[in-house]
Amino acid sequence: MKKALDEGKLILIAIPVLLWTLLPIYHLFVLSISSQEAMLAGTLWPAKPTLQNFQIVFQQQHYYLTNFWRQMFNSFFIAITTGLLTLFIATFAAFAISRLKVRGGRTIMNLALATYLIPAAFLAIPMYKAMGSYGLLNTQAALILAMVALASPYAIWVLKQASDKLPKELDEAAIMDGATSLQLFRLVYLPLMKPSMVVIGIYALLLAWNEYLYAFLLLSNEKAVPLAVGLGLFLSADDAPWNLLMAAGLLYAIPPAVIYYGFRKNMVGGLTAGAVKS
Amino acid sequence: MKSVRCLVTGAAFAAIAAGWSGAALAQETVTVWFTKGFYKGEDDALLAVVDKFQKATGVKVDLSLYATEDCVTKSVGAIEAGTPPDVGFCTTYDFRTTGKWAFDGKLEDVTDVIEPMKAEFQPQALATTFLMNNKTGKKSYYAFPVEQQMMHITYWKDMLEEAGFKESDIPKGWNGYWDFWCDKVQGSLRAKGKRIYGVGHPMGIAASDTFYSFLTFANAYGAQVVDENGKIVLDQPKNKAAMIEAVKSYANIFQRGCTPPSSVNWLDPDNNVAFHNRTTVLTHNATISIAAKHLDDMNNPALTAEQRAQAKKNYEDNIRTAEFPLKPDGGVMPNLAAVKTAVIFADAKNKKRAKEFMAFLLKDENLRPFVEGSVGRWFPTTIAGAKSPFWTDGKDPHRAIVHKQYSDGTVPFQFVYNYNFTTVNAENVWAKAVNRVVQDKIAPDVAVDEMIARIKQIAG
Repeated sequence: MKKALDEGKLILIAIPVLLWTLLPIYHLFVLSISSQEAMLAGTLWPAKPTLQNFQIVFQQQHYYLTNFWRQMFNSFFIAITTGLLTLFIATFAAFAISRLKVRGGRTIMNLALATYLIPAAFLAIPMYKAMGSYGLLNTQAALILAMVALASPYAIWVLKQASDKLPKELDEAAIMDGATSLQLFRLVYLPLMKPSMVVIGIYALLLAWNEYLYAFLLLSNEKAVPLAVGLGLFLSADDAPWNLLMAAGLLYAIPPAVIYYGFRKNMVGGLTAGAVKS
Repeated sequence: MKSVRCLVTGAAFAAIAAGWSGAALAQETVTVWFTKGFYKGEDDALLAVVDKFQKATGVKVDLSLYATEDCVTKSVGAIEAGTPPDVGFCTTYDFRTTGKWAFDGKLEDVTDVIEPMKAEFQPQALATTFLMNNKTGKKSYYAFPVEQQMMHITYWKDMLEEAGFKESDIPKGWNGYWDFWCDKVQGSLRAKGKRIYGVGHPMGIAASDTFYSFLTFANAYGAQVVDENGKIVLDQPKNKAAMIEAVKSYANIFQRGCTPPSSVNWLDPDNNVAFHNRTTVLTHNATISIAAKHLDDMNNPALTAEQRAQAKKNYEDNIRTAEFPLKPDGGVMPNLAAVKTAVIFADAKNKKRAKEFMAFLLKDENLRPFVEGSVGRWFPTTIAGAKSPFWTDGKDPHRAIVHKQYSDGTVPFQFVYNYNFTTVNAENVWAKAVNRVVQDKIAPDVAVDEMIARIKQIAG
């Protein structure tokens, strides 16, 4: 009886939370299958649902969507490159700090944590200025480097914590067998860190995928911007075709959803890997 | 072996870095930031100008197009970072930044470009670019008048007929006009069981539509806020009394239930949305974008033939663009015009080419297609442009009204005389006063006292 009551309470909380979470997605979907007239009618479900909006998006038939596929590719390119670079930097840094115990490692960890505490938006203008000084403005490299800079502190922190949990005896055994540092890294460390690396790679990838402010500031050319910025053009007009924006937005939301659900087991395992020190 | 690897890696990074930054050194470039057009024709015209300029001068134009709000945000960021483009044209510069930038010495004096072509511009449009620079202590031309906008009335003719009225029934006088839409048209449609509002009346504090609409009402009542030297004159008894009447009149439309209750929270697109979904019969808007949407739709091959036909019927028959009614004193309404300004930044790297580019763009054969590409949203600032058949041939019912309104004469916003009014508008002191009356139920004269006090704090 008590169990049933507890479950009932949980359900009472869960249902509003679920509805609240799904409501924007519902609106996104409903508008994306509505015609222009039905979109503005304020009904819960369009009288004549249509896939016309998706057709227009796929075929880039609206003026604001002329670079849709190019911008989608840019989003993939920037997100994947950011994910890989962050992973590269963070894995090596965590290995050096956690396993090789390099001097100053603790200071680097503290600095990494400190930079993570500064909101990314505060760094936007300094970053813009820095990229301008290096002549990198209006290049995708600028955005990728900025994203890597933003993602790395957290990535190093999580990987270092996860790395600390690995038994030291494994390293000692490998060293006894004559392994060099790089062999230790490649043959012992990397295979054991795989779940955490997956989660950090996805974290950096999604950070870059969802980024708007830096992408908007650092890139100017319509053909170079990611789709998030490209879709911002819809807000130019006070008569924006919201149904097309929602259809394009729905398509843009699919890849991160697929990635998340594809790797959700690793996500949970990886995120909790550094949570508790053994 | 290790050192060879290091060397190769280092060389690879150096090559990538050189590739990233080296291309820009190859050719002389002028960097240009524009607001992206609403329509393809607008941007096609701009790209044609860019192409012609590049061929004529051999200078590469590095053109970037941004969404309306992004454009000004990015410009402000670039100025703060010390890396502005050479030329900037964002369609909200005039509302937000041009006056302040000129005052702070952030803009290049472009008198040498304007002077030879001065006679080609409409004087009232050109006057809005003659701005004070606090560093030099003098006024000069710090911007180019590219195009302009003003307030228009838009209504559904078919809904008016459904309410049992003809267009000829619409009163010309101020009070009769609003009574007609609020009492007769709305009343008639409500009697038929339809939850329709007579007017879509922007009231939201976060909407620029609200201050544009409200200042139109203030003009109707003759409430002068600043003089031509930028001195605040709203506290003079005559102006204050007129402003109280304007606040009463603007608030009254909400108080009598003639606009949707949600209009107190409306953002800029919302009066358009309420109009399109036929929740309102009439709205006032700062361009003819509402009608133009249907013009765009009727020529949009991505839509079905049925949708295009409906859009054509809406544009040509169902939707009407109209002037505001006569002022409460019976005079003709002075139209409040916002002139969209392009600028050359003082810190620009290539000011010489930037001036050449702007001089090139402002030639009638280049500027006219650019302005007309917006299918009527923007009106020309040149005398020749305003006389173009596009506006005067009478074939388009909406553009004909726009042309007539400009021909009746325009007045500028206060920020042309005192740049601090960009802040007054951004804070929407006007909408706050109206909302104090309708939501906090305070008397209009108290709301105007608060308004004046705040304006003096910001712009006094």
